[in-house]
Amino acid sequence: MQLATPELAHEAGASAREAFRRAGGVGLARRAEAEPDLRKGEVRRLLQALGLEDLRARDGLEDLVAAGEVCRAAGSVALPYPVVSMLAAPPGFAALAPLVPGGRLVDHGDLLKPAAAVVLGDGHREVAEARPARPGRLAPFVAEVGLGGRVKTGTDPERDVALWFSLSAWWVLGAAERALELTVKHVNAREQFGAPLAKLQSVRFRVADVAVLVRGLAELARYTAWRFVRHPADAVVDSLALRVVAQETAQAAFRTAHQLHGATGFCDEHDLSVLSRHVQSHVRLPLDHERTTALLVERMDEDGFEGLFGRHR
Amino acid sequence: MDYDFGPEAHSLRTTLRERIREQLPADFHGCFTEDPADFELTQRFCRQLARDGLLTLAWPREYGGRDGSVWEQTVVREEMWAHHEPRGPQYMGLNWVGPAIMRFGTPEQKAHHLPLIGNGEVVWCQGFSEPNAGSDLASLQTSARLVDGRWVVNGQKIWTSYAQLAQYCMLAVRTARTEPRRDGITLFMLPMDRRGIEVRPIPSMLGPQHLNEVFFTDVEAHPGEILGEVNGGWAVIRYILTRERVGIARYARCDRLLNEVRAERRESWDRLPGSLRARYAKSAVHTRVARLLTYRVVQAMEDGSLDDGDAAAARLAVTRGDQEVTDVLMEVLGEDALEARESGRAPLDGAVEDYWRYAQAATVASGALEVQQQLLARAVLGGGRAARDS
Repeated sequence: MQLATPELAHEAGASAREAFRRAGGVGLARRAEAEPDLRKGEVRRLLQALGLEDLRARDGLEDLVAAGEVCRAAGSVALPYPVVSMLAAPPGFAALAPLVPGGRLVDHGDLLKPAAAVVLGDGHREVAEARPARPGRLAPFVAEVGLGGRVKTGTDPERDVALWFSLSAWWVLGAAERALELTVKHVNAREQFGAPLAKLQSVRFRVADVAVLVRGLAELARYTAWRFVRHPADAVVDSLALRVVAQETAQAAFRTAHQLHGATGFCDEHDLSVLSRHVQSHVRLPLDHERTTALLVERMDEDGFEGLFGRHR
Repeated sequence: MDYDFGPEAHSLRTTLRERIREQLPADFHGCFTEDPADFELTQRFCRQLARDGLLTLAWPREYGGRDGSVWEQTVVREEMWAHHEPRGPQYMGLNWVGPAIMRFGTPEQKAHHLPLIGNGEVVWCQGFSEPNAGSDLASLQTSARLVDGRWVVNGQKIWTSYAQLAQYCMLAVRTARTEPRRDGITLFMLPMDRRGIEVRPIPSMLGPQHLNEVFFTDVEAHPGEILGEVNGGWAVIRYILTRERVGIARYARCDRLLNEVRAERRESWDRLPGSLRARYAKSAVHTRVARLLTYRVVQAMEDGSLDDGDAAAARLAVTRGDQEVTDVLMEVLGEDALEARESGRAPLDGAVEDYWRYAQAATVASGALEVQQQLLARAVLGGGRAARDS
């Protein structure tokens, strides 16, 4: 047993965090909302400079965890780019777009070409067309895609789904961690009734409860990466379990962050508001919490779920 | 990064499961039952483990152990708790009494106590909590006064598990009125048959043996029975509590019961409400998370980098998980969950009902949930003591 993060992954995450910070952090997302083409220019160049094209997320544990750490860094600033879809792309494609049957919305689905869609339970399809959806306050870079015929990617569609879910959970981890950091900073600085909010026990308990969830998600993300490599047959059920925990963590972390920030946290000039809105695409697409849970139940029934005493099935 | 326990730990797990299968009946639910034969089973089991060299696997070789790796120790904790702790109350002697004596004891204390614990021959209880000192342990009032070279102990302890079975008590007493209060505490290792000690069991929903009151009336204690320094007991207590925080692998019992209930209800599983099946699935996932957070603590202890926040986070996840899983499993079993074990109709011989009752105390025992939240908040937010005092 050795739980330390591989050096390569650690460095990849640190480099990405530093690069995103220098580029303006959450400010990039704020600017991209006003000027969407920023994604194709400044943000793409930023990622190219990080050398992400060399990462082979599906080819080994070190690269997979490194990809996860990059997604975590991107999530922490709501980077306006489909980093998860890019890193999960099958060979020969620029992006992987996950959809449920009948689904049509893909975050940044108009940006990377060619993209392969993976439809849950229905294999790979060509993304024939994509156009920006009418931008909403939540998930402002969502695009509406139209699917073409089946395409051969040379990859297992189930494993592709699992990879996308896993990397997306790392993204959510980064966002939830940042929400917690912002909350810690705020409650230590903000004084009410003559003392910082952080002195109030109710506040301390809420923060502690979010910290448990965030730490738990971080551990599960690493473990799921290891199982993706060592126990590939369980990749789907493991990634669904990870996604459920990521969704629970995001819900609790952002709810608590908003509650403790008060009105300040709803203002777009505050990073919390931007992070809270932009993380919605990862939490809700292609499956929201209820639907992810339903699929997890289904897959647990079929595949089981590995525990200390065999499979829960 | 590798989550594989390695061949030695795997082999140990297999051996322990074999021993349990060979030596304990299938319906064994721990020794804290109305049947004294269950306690005898655990005593025999401990002696057999000692003969096999497995009881003190975690201990250093110089004290009769096998220098087991932290991961082998984790396997022992998981297998024992998952199988209703067949070491009975002796787990405390192995997990924290013995190690505390190794760390703070005199050569004479080590020579006397460690072989008794290591051979599976002695039960200890922990005399820490008092009616007015629970989570706030430093406020304890049971006192010891030095009179003509001997200490005289007076006071009361409460919630003392296994006190009726124990031969020894690790007793925390006040030996000085100091500020801070923790600087006036001393630990004694007292034989429970010493004159002036009276144990009164407290009937409880947890079952027999779990809760007792212990009264000390002019009990004599000798200087050689002090563990550590006079008025230096807080350092020993901190050491003990740190070991207790990872002492019980509650998630392992949850993991096993989740499997067993699912197998037991195989025929009717599809007829359960969808919402309940979803809760079952999530509780299995949360059990995995609790296990991983515990592994992080084990790794940090091994690396010497453990902080209060890591330990508290793991403990919060593990104890809440205990209650989540047992709540879900009680509902899966429906009205059958209330059948008494003795009726012969209880699913899994009442294992779920038994653990649900025990799990109610998970967030209270060994440091209440709110204390763990405070420890974690201090690690995350800083400013703990000022905040607590406010």
